[in-house]
Amino acid sequence: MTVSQEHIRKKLEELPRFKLSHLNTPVEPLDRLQQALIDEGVDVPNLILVKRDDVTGLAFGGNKGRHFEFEIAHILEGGFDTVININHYHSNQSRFIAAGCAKAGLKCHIVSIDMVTAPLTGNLLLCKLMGANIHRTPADYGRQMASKLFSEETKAGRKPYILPDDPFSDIMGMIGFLETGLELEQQLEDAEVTGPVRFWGVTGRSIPGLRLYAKNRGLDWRATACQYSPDSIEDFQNVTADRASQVAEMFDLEVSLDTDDLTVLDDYRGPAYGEPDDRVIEAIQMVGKTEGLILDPNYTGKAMSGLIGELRSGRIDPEETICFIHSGGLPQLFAHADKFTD
Amino acid sequence: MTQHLTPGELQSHIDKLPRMNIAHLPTPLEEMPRLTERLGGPQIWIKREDMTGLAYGGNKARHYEFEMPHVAEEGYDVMINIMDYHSNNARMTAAAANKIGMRYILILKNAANRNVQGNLLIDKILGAELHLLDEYQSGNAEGYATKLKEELEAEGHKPYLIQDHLFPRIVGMVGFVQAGIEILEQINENNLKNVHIIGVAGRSLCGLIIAAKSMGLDWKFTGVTVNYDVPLSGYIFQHNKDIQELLDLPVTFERSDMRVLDQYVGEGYGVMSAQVNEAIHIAAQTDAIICDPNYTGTAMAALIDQVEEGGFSDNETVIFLHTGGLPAVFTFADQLAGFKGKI
Repeated sequence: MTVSQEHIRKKLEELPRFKLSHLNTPVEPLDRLQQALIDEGVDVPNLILVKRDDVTGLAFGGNKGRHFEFEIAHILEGGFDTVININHYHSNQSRFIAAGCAKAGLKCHIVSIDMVTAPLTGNLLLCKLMGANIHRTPADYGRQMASKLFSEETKAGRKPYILPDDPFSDIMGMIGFLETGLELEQQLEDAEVTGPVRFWGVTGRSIPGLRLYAKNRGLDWRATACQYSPDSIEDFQNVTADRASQVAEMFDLEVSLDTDDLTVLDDYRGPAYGEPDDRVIEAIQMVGKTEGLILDPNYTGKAMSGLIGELRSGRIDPEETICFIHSGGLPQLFAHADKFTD
Repeated sequence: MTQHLTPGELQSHIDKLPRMNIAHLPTPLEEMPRLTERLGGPQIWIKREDMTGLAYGGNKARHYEFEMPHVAEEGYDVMINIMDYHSNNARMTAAAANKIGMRYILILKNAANRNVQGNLLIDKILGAELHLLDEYQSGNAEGYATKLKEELEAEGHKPYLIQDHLFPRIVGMVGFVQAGIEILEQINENNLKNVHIIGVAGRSLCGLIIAAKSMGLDWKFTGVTVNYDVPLSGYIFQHNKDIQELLDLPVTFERSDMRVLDQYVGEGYGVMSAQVNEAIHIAAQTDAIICDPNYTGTAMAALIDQVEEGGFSDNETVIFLHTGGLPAVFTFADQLAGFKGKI
């Protein structure tokens, strides 16, 4: 038994939506990267593809341009006029919130935690340009700052919304990628891809969303997620299974995710969140040189260092077609300029 | 009386040139509803050439679709480009060269000891072979490049020094004749009337003018100057016959086809004025559109000022040509972050 595309599409259409992004995003072959690996003597799959979610078009693009169409509509429907979010200095999410708020005419507070003296550039600079009020605090005070802003805004007669307090904000990323699943199923068919496909990216909600889609559609789509932070793999798997069951219920799906539905790699996380190791820098340069394609050091660069590393170690079944999810994050490269200056 | 071409006929003139797929096309044409509302004048739309998908996007991705096959087919094995520190062309040529595995040497003027940020950072990541010239060397960058070219020739290479050739100077216009056909389709889909396109005064606008004139369309054009040092006559207008000949067209552009505004340059190229800084914030805070400090920010400042000053009629549909240039935002991070104005 499988769930029909029509069913998933219908469920997506039932959700309120605020247009932010340009979809579909392209799928392209990474032929020259593949050739460079062959030249090294690596046994590579016949086809390595990239899903270009870096070109969704909202304020430097990225996969979250999808999710926030649902999130912003959800906020508007709740009658809120002010959004408060708590994000790390490197966060891409903060940029999408600021962009969505600008387009919807909502007031936006970004509580930017950690790295309080780091330069105002990358995502945070774009938040500032788009009119977000930025509050930089040490990590431990983020929650306190958000509460303070909440009471100030309430006192001023506004209706504030603290984003991480709403369970919807935790699952909308997976919902966005159910739609990506619809897009990809068609695109892979158009590209005449047969046989198993392995989606490749970072831990988060996108890869699990695709896996959830595939499981319900009965597709042989496999998934590898590279951990990018020190957080425990077990926590990720548990949280993901929980999110998936919420989405499965909301979308009336037949099956949810089990903790072993995704391959999770922890060898490529580097020294810390927001800190790329040498393999990440090499991966970014290699993809730049071979494909003219730019990756970021915090997420997609780590995922690509994982893909290259696993290919070189011969741990990937060459029968699989690889589809790398380029989830964006491009502004933050400029916050890491010093890593590339020799 | 000139016979006008149908879009299909104009397309067939372009299709005679060798071409490879580099840009994500068509780029979207979308409304800027909140900027329109704020300014209270004509409807404002935006053509998203920042979404061509090649290494942070930009209009030039269109050009390389023609330039790269042209260079490769003539047997060249290394490209040499002379550009400025802030150049978008430098970055996008690097990305396009990588797409065909072409070696790429970049001579950047006024770039020695400057911050590795913005476009220069991306040039580095893309693996361009960089020669960063100081101010003194920059005075004779052509001589520097020629010497390099001769050395490569002596080693048996066939270098293509971009600045020695005519084709790269007109290929940008070809890309935008193509864009003109695309825009016509989008204008028809959205039923837009009295179209007035505003953007940086350069090859892209000239290409659009050719498209419009060839197809007999009544679009108007405003070009915004961003530079005191590159006179438009030498940069674009003198090439109107070259492009006409290359594409074998019945008409071409004339200087009088474009209203040129040169009052927004400020202190000069590469220096962001307070007006441009404000315009960047306005576009970002209304419709989440990001403009860059060197090109599109200046054009946006002109758009805003012209609407306020009555430079457009309210019954026009103004299309802002967003030509990209996004990495430069981060070269100007301090100045943008320091903006204190109220939007």
